[in-house]
Amino acid sequence: MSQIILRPASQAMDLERLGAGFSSNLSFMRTLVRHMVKDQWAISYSQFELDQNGYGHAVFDIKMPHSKLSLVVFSQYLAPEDRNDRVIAEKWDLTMTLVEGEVDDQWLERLAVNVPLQEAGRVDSRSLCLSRGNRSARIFDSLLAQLRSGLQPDPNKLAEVGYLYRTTAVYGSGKFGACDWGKIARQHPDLARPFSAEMLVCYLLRQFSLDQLHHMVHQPNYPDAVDLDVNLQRYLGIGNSTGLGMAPYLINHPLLMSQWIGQREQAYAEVLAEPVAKEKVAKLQQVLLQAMQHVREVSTLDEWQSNNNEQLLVDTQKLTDWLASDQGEVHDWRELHEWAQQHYSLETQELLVSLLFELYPAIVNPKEDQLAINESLTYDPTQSAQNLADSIQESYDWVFDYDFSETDEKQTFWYYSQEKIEPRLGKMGVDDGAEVQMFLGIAKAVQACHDDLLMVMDHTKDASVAEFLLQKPKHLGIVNRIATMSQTQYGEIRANLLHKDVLPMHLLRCKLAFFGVGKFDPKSALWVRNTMFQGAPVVSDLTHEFNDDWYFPVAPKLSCETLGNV
Amino acid sequence: MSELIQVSANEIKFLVKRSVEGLGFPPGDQLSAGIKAAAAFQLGLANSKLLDKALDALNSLISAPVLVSSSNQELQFDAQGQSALVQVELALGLTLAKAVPQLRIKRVAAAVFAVPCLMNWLAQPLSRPAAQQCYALYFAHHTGAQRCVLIAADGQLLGLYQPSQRLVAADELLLCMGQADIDGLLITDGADLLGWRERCLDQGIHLDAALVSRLKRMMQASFVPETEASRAGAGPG
Repeated sequence: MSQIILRPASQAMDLERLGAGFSSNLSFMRTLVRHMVKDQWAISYSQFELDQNGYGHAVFDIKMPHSKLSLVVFSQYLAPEDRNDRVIAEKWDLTMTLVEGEVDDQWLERLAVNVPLQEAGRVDSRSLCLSRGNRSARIFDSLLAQLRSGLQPDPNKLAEVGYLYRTTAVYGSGKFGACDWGKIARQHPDLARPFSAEMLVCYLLRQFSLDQLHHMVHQPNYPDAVDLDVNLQRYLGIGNSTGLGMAPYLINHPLLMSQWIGQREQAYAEVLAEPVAKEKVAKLQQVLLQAMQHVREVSTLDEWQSNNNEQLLVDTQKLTDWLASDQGEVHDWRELHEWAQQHYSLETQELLVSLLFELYPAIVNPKEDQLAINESLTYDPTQSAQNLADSIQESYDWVFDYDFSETDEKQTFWYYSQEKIEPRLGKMGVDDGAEVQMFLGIAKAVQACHDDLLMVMDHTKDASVAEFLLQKPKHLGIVNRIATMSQTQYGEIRANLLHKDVLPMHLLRCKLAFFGVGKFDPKSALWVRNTMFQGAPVVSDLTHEFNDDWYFPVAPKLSCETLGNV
Repeated sequence: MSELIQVSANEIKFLVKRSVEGLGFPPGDQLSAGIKAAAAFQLGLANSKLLDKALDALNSLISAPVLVSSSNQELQFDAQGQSALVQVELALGLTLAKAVPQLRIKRVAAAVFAVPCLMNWLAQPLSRPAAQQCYALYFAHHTGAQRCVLIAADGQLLGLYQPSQRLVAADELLLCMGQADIDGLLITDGADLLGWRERCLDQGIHLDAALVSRLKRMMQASFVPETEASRAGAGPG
């Protein structure tokens, strides 16, 4: 094993690179499914009360090693004019909540009143998450008709959508009366990893979508009806639309972000230091081919993403050809990494990270238990102001790359909309709300703090941080942040989110890649469609042998006689 | 009896943070207020009445407490009526930085909200070791009774006491460094205070419905009415 060399923060925390990331075996969805299998979770329905149209309610019973949960799902008729994926919607096809223990009739009644209202209702501290989903108008009805006729859909047609339902929000962390993360971490250790509870809700929504479909398929009037081929079941995931709501999260949770990136980078450095064995190269070729096919099946009209995908396919084809050639002998993973840095696009470079992870699960997977962290930003009032200024110079040198006397660097501001308390972007001098903008201009705030630090130290050479703040109290927030983050390996995302051309898409994709999402389909610079849990085992698979190999799913092949046409 | 609503600590943090923002306080004060409020409720040190009082006192025209006297033995600040949800750490911080044995803050509202801030600092090694000591923080309960919270040098709560002597006025905070024993009656020990935190995690925190409504009204000022332009391109949001 050679030396472990971490990628520098200047590289790993570059926003564009973060926005080029792919899911990996360290992603939250993969982690969840691994634990469901390894720890032998038992998932079944304790209630499945749907009518022939699929309306009613169902309750999943989830037995984990350390506790028991239920997912309560309500399915109701939704008029086409009410079907809206935006967060401002007020009605949905499905609404659900993940709760502790078993649900009795009285509690179910209360949930039936509140859960369909989502933000307008209240749950209590027995709820872990609140969520909802809408049917894919493109696919559900045609698939239903086809299965009722005994036909299977064309996998390629199915690949264009890839899901039956889209989730439009999954609320956790104490929202609308649900319990705090601290309770999940202490009382439900099987879910004590970031977003595990939220991922579980999405996984079970996907299972419910299949079970509801089959329930509607197998009605008495359809004697020829068949189940969807199980390979196609696995291929269907859950759709997701992610907008600006997710973007500030990574800035507002810098310690968590630093921890996620830190664990990933540590894993990557350890992998690169591993000796190269022939079977690992063969595995790399295999996962590379699968990833290429996966990318070919991505359906997007977005020009930027299409170009990225095309370039990735060009790069990976070259790599595949080289690996298959006589010269293509890899002696050192680091050499391959450095070659990729010099010759391939950012997306290809980051794809390589995810692919190499698949070769070394014993190194990568244990890092999943290091992804949670206590998120307290705090400063030491007894520290000298000079130390704080030094921290800025050492850890925040990148903020001085921006000249905030230039209008372009501070033309964007972020604010919360009154209607649904969702983030929005505004333009300085054009839109209202700059006076209540969100605190996301980290580079600008650090610069201003540094300027004032120098001024205060000019007058009082041995000033403490406490003395500085007493004179300049407006810097309290950024001082908390600098003092905390300068002690971390990766710290801040290196970008100016106030720039006129800021691309929130990178933030969205970064977080979604950690979730384990695939098939990124940007709909603008501000929101993206994607698919969750595509290729994952279905619930009935969880008790069988499991290879944790559902990365980069590709459309299955079916025999001609069973095919219909969605 | 007023109606109660069960909320999470994270909701309190969010509601208070946004409410403080709505009043025009800077980002550091916003977050600090949210964290202090949530932590004080979780430790059983605050209730709806106290938070109401703390909100009443918030004044964004005041940017920091004023140092009115300073000696080797005591610092005295005037918070000018400000709520301890904000800015109180500026005075506490200077006391620790100078390792002065005693701090008195006059004209401060809901002083108990200073407790989480001090706990947080002491939980980490301080650059100035002389400041890493146990502290007794005296304040007046919202009922007017004297109270004291004893905090260990590592930030752990040791107990809530009723001092036998009146040491602070109704709107004062007194911080005494190195005071390991309190002359008074132990009301709740540290384990019970932390036990309260577990109970809050398990069962949530109950706030008066009127207070929740007030916070929701206050935070409206930190939101911006949507326009067609702002909605454009926001996608599913």
